[in-house]
Amino acid sequence: MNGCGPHRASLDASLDASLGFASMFAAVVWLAGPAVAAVADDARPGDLPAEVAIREQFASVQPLLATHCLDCHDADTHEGGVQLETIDAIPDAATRSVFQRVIRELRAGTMPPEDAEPLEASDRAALLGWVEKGLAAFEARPVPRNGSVRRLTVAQYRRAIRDLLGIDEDVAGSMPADAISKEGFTNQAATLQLSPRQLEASLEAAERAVDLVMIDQAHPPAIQRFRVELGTGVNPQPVDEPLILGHISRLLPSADVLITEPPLQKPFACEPVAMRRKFRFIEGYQGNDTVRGWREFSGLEHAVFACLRGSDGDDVRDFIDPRGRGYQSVPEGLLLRPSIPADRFLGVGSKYGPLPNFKVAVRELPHHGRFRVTVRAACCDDLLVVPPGSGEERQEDELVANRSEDQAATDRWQAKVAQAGVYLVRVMLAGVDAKPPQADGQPATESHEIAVAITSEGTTRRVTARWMQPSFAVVRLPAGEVALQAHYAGPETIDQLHLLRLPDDDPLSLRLAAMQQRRPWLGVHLGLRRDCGSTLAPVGPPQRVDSGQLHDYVFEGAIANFPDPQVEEGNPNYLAGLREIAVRSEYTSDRDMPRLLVKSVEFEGPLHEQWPPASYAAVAEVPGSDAADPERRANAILSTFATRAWRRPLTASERDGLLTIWRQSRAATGDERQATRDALVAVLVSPQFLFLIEESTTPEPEPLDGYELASKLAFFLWNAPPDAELLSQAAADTLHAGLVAHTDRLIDDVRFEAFAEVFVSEWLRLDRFDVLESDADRFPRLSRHVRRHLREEPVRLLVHLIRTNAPPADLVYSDTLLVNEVVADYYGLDAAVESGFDFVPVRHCRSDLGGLLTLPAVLAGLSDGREPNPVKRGGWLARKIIAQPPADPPPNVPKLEDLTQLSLRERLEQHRSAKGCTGCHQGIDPWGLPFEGYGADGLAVAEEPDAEVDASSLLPDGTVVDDFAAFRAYLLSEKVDRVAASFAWHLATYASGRRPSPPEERWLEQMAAKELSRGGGLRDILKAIVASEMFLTK
Amino acid sequence: MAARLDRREVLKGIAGATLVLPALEAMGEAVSARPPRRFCAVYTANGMALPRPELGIDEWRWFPSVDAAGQLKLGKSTEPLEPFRDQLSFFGGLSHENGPKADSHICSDMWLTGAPLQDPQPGTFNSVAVDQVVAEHTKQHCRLRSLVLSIDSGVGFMSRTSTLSYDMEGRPIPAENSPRRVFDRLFRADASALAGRRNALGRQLSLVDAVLENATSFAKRLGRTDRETMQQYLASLDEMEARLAASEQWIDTPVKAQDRSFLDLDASPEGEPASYYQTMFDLIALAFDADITRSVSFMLSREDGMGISDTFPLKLGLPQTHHNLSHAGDRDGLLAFANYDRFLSEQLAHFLTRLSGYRDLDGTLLDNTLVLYGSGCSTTHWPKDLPTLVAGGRGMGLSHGHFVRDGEQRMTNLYVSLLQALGIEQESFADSTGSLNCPVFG
Repeated sequence: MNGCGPHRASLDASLDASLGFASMFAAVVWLAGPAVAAVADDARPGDLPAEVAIREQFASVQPLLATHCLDCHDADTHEGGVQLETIDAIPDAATRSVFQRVIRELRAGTMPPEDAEPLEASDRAALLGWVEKGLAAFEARPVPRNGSVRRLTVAQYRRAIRDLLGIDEDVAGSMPADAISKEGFTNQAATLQLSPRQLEASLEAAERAVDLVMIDQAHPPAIQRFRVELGTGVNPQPVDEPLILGHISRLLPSADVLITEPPLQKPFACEPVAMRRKFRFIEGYQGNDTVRGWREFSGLEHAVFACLRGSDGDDVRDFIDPRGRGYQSVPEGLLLRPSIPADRFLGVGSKYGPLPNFKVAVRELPHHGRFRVTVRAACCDDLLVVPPGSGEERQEDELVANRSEDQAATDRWQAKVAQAGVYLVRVMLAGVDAKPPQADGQPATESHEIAVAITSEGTTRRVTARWMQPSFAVVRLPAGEVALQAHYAGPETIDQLHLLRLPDDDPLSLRLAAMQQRRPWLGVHLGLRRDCGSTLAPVGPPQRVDSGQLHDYVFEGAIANFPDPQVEEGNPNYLAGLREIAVRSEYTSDRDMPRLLVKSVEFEGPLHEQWPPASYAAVAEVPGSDAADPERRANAILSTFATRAWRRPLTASERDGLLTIWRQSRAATGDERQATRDALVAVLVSPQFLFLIEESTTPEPEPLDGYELASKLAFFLWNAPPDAELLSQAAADTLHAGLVAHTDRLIDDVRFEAFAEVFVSEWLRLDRFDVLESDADRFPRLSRHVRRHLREEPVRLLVHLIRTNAPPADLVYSDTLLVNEVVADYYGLDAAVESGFDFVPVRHCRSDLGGLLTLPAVLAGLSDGREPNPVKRGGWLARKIIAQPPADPPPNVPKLEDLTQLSLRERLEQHRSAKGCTGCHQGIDPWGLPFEGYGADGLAVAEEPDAEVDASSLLPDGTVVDDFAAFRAYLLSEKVDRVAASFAWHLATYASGRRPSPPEERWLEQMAAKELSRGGGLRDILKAIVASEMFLTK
Repeated sequence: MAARLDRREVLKGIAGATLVLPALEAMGEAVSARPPRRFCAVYTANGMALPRPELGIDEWRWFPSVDAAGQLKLGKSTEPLEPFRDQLSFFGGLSHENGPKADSHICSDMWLTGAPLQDPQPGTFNSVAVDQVVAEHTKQHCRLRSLVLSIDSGVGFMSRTSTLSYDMEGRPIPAENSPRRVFDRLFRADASALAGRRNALGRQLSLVDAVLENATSFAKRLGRTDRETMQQYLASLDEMEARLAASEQWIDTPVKAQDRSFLDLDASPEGEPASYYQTMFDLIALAFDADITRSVSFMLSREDGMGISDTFPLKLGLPQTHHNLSHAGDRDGLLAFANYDRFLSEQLAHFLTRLSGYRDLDGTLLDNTLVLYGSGCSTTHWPKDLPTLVAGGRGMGLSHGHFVRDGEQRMTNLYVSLLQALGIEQESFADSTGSLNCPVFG
């Protein structure tokens, strides 16, 4: 075992934990760890001389306990949940907290209480002497290590199946959720139970997974492919038959949609799926009404159609975007504005989704396998509709366009632009000066749509919007002839069209220029149509559409992971069982965005690049799988697969065991394929796959072997199984020696984000934010759309802080935020960020932001959605940030007194002073009160003169802080060692899958302090944990 | 290993000869004279509204009153249960001895077990829940030994459990919360699939057998390495094998024909609370009617503001979350809390109505089912005087219409009475001191 020598040496050295630090900076693998094995082999804890002395000491103080404590704390009464009658001289794991509490109370002088027999100072000292030594003795005891068998979490299981079998379809859907440990993590050995139900789910998942991979390769695949082309007049043979689509549905005109089934072009034999074109339904819809009566339908347009359900805002208080129509057919394709989430302006989700809401509805799609949606799209060279109220005061250089004299074309004008630049287009309506918008920005009810097309140098730009004033749009034009066309839908006629040159520094020119710098984000969603809206899930992240030229944007996924209507064959309802492919320009924020031009949407699935598929080949076409003898074939397949699945080489008996399963199954079924399949399933329900196993032969700590280390590292830092590189290092036994470099590689790999997602969510309790029911009236900006991004912010931030090795103080305050446009807008940092959905580091220069403490995902999560909760916030800070958790609440906690005229703060003060509550709440509330300046939306409350916020707090050490800034300064100057230690403690707990033992806790504190003093960062702390004995031994 | 294989051979032989096991006789057919006896435990967290007298809203107390003639008078929060007044009884003064000793939020973990969670036995998690004792005694008669339902799936975590049920070793049993998954589990075995299913089960059974064999030798090699976890794995595998063997027996027994068209399987905890609860109750009633299981637990909400159920009062237009409502001390707050109690009573009434609607061998389903409804604390964090109600069971000799309040009594004594009423000869359960002496159980 490579590294064994230095390891033993460091064990001896670690008797003095601080000594071990010296080696941490050396290029030695085995760095100092806690003194778990520091006790001689033959010394049983109870026999230690020191412990004998403590027992004697205990005997001498027992009369004191009887006189001063047992009245209330005997085995029957055990007031406050503390009983001292049957307590031992030295605590065990269960009574450890009682000892800690007794020490706290005795030191603080809060026990015995005033009405009890007073305790002489010397007696107090004697009692304290025993309790402290007893506790110390317990904490110094060696903790036996017997290796570990830790079940994969559901997330890890999912990743392992995916990596192993190369299938994206989630087969673990029926696995029960993992329990959360007291430390807050789901990956702890102690809470990862394995019930029969879980094992049943594993068997179910394994069978599904293997069946998906072990296809019949002799049978060519059937593949569905269709394309929807968009654009005015794209369909030369439009159909007139009006489709009945139900409430609030718009179909694109048949002339603007062309549906085709292009031939498959594959390098292997396959069969096209010809989509069904004839249907018979009895139920359909007319507007909002159901109609009954059998009807025949024929044509591809009944199998696939392009629809814009709810896009005109009919169901959302007639919302109309004053910046122009959400969607518009043009000869080049379909123009889409960003799809504004309905809750952005309503506070609640609209049933019919965002506006606009373009979808391709489809009757049939495959049920399994991967699929691909290809969208041909471009960024529109767009013009800007002038916001009402601006543009009107500009007067100079007005150029009047000449109306066409052709009586058949009175909606056309001509003008000659002398100079290239930005022009304001004015449309004068006869007899009307303006139709100003309503108070909420919505167009006046009597204002109608005006459609304008501007052609210059062969390019036509089109826009349709409500007419509210003559100054209508801003457009960048080259010098030369300009052809204009305008059509107004209202009763008035268009009097004149003017073009007005704007200087380049005019606010409207600047706004147009800023818009033209931005790029739309294309998103594809897949789901199903319901009578009351849609259920859609995104197909991968949105993609930025950079170019003005058309390009193909490809979205792929496993179709079984998306919502499925699950209706039976032959359902008689015209609208039942429809799937929908939604294509959107994704909304980031309210800033002006050029429209997205969509030319075509194409679907293909199941998606195969080769046949048989790569996932099949990886399992079934391995060296030796072409042997003549069936048993040899099976052996090759099973050994290769099990070696990958179990993340280490097989033993001979394991190999035999699998082959026995294969033989038995083949004997029973007579089917070689079936036998192989059964044995593959057996691999996946075996403990070697389901558990992370660290084999041990003694209670002493033993070093991990290379394969165990490879798995431990990968499941820690990627939440996934080790990759080929880690396994080959394990095979060569070079993993320990290169540990630092490997850890760096894992941290810098994209898979590190999977670690962060779990660790940050569980450490910072983001699950509370997930279930928060926020008061939409009071916090309309905390919409579902915004919450999704706020939820991501802490994860991104921590990834950034660790990767850049930021100092631990940055957890409390950092001058850099990790935000995207959505989050930046929520903070009011709008102008600073133009990154769309990408999270980027931004220096913020704001006193109310920075670090973990002020994240809305944390602070809003620690509220009830209406009011902030200082107790929750205090408990969170104490537990998570400074790792000084308050004791569990005692039984029979009295309620907060019913004094409604008092503020929560005042009621808490009362509650705190009540007997039995003081102890705990002194360790909770003071940490939460400084956050009083942050509302239940997680934002600093705007400074209003009337709203006096009292964020002062008397901290447990007697320090008084006046406000949050002072509190943060206090944490940075006085508590940064605790912050570093808390980070280390939580990370080590997560990394090792178990709670650190008391000696390990001490080592973690010392290690964190050492890193602080030498200017080390979070990455250094993480690497120190990986290099520690706690992590590297079993 | 030999014993297991023998059993397998026996089962195979029976299936092959299409013999009917004695245990199967009661299924679906009226062979046995005694109708099946069933148990369903329904739990709501955070207690019930019990406003103090000086607030002047006594009619909103969850506990009923009794008039001079000894007639039960239901309050406003239980008014929806009025049609069942002579088929249910209330119990006051009950509590778990261990309740006040333990963490105040742990009452839901303890509700069906009564375990000393403040000082658990070394190496144990919890102790067996009463529904699982019922399951252990009824499993041979039905397809599923028990059905464990909850508003949040999985097990949650100790002190904030999301399951009420703990197996014979005190391990939490993960709960299901999706109506569709529950439905599939209960009914999705149509005749055409049965042959395939038998085939698959047979293969699974031999597969599990083989895995068990390999894993046992692997466990031997591991030696002392984390022995407990490996034993848990082997025990689970063993249990799984037993389940597969049991399922195999049921394959040839068709599920009773029932009208299930009214089920709203799209109901979800994210949707409208009433339709979710009612769908889950519909499923329980159907499962009882088809005798698929005789033991059910259903956790309606979780303690201390955990999970989605905390937001249900907001969805119903009440001013605060469930946990916050439960903390109310003022008149308006308690009225709002009591209104939520009333909402829950409506859901329970829906369940009792469904049970009354199915004919059993003798009387209605409700007559042969014990429904236990209650909470692990009376008002939040006060684990005494637990609000408790028992409905149904006339066919088991229960007499109803009582409000039992006889000083302080142990909850586990009520459980002993319930077990005995179900025909389970058990003298004690957890820390019981006997059965409950009251007119309800005769």
